[in-house]
Amino acid sequence: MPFEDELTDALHDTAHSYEPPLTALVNAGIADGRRRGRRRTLGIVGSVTALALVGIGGTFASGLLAPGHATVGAASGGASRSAASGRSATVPPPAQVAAGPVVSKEQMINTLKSLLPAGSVTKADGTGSGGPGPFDVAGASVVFNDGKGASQIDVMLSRLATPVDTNGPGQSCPDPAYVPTMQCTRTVLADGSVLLIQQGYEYPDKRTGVKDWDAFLTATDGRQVSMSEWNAAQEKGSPVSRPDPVLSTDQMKALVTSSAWSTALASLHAPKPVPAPRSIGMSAQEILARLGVLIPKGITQTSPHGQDGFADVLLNDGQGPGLFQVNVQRWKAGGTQPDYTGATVLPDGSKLILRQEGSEKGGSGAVQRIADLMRPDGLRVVVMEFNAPSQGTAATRTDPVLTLDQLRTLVTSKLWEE
Amino acid sequence: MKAAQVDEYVEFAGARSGHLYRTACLLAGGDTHLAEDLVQETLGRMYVHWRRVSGADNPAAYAHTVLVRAFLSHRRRRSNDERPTGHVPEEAAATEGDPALRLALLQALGQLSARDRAVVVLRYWEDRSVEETATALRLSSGMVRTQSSRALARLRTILGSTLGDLART
Repeated sequence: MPFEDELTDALHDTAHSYEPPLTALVNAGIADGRRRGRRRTLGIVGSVTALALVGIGGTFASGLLAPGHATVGAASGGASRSAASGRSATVPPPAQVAAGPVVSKEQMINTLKSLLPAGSVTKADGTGSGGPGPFDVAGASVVFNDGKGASQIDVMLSRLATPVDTNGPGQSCPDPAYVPTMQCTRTVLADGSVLLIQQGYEYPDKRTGVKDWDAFLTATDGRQVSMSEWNAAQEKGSPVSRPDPVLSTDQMKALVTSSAWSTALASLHAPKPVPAPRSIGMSAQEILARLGVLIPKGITQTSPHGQDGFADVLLNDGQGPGLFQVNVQRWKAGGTQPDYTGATVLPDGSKLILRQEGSEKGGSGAVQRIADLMRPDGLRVVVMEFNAPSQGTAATRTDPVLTLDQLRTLVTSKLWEE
Repeated sequence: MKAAQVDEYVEFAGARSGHLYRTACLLAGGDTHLAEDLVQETLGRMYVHWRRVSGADNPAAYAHTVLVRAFLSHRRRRSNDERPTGHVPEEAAATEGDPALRLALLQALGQLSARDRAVVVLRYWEDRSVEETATALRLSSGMVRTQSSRALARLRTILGSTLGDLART
């Protein structure tokens, strides 16, 4: 065989030996895109959880994320949703906001520099307002050194649609079940603005040790100032340069609440309101209520969270807490469906996959159990549980709380039909 | 983005990210963390420009171009900081195929310059033509041919008859 052909074969063999973490990749890509779009650093927690389960089938089939499924609201960005429940059917009238004169990139950089303590700025870049593209934003990014190590500091100004989506970026602290390495505080200021301060890591698993600290100030009219800083000269690809990012939480607060941003904020156009996606019909509360009935007696349920079509809760049988997630989705009967190859077909025509495997997000000794049921009418119920209180962390108990048999009983319950 | 575009984007990302990831693993010489970063950056860039990109002739090919450029730009930023090769996933080693061959190949790829590696991956894994490879790498066709034959010669030297021997065992 010619060397070129051998090489081609070997490349194919090697490439296919890698199993892509599809869900994580797509979520990370969307998050990255949104960060590029308008630095909405951590507003994606909702979509991460929802997509994590949707991805179980291994394929993102056409129609999977059609309007009406919970994940769309999450993936399309908090600003486009109207309320936490996603249920509002009314569309607010378009805001008639005349934006003020645009500010230049240089003005943005200079404003940021003026708000920093003593030190030197070695690199600066920015974006003025009035630019092209779907998002009207203005921002500045500098590498700042107070003499104790370089730190990248980014500021982004944007206008969120009103009423401000309570699931949107900078509105609420993420669920610690998904970002256990983050500290987060949320404060409502005297004028009703929400101040959120997050101290986490660039990679939640602390892989590189680079810390990512963020502050968001969101006014009730949708004006938002957000900033991020790192204890490195670059967000990625640069080593840790100091123990913590340069600005303290008090300094972060002072920066985002500064009146120096008001001219730039006034120059941004308010986004056009977007109709809220239709609800998928089962709220987190409704899912949690059913779990209340379906989880066997003697097992406690704590820390409930959720959004339309998705809920999670910690189960505990006395041996320690295990994360338990439920997705309830409505698929078009006869439409494109996820891959149920190898599924058991039940007498009523439902397809059921039961599986136990190593946790896809890693964590020492972590296993996940999955029951994925698709009924002939398109109702899909997926449950996924872990032998740890969060996803991607080391096991804290030998097995998840419920057995695969118990999961089967749970997903096949008639209660989900209502 | 409008909801319909997000749908379209997620469908695209779901369909393409597996292939992008495998390409990235080859480019990264088996460093799966770097591969994840590269795919994330690629998908992120596609997301920002989705309205424009989705109307292009071949968004999938465009994504691979973005990926290769992200890789080259990454290598320019941190030329001495690549993790050692050989992060072959264990589960893969347990399945069919030959882990020794994979390791040998990744190590050999790791000895090529970033651009030579990109040329090899585009031409022999992605099966791109010389012209397509040239466009993706912003090189002339002639330079791609030169680099391609140089890279092949280098790989043949490093691997010797390893590929053939291993493939036959």
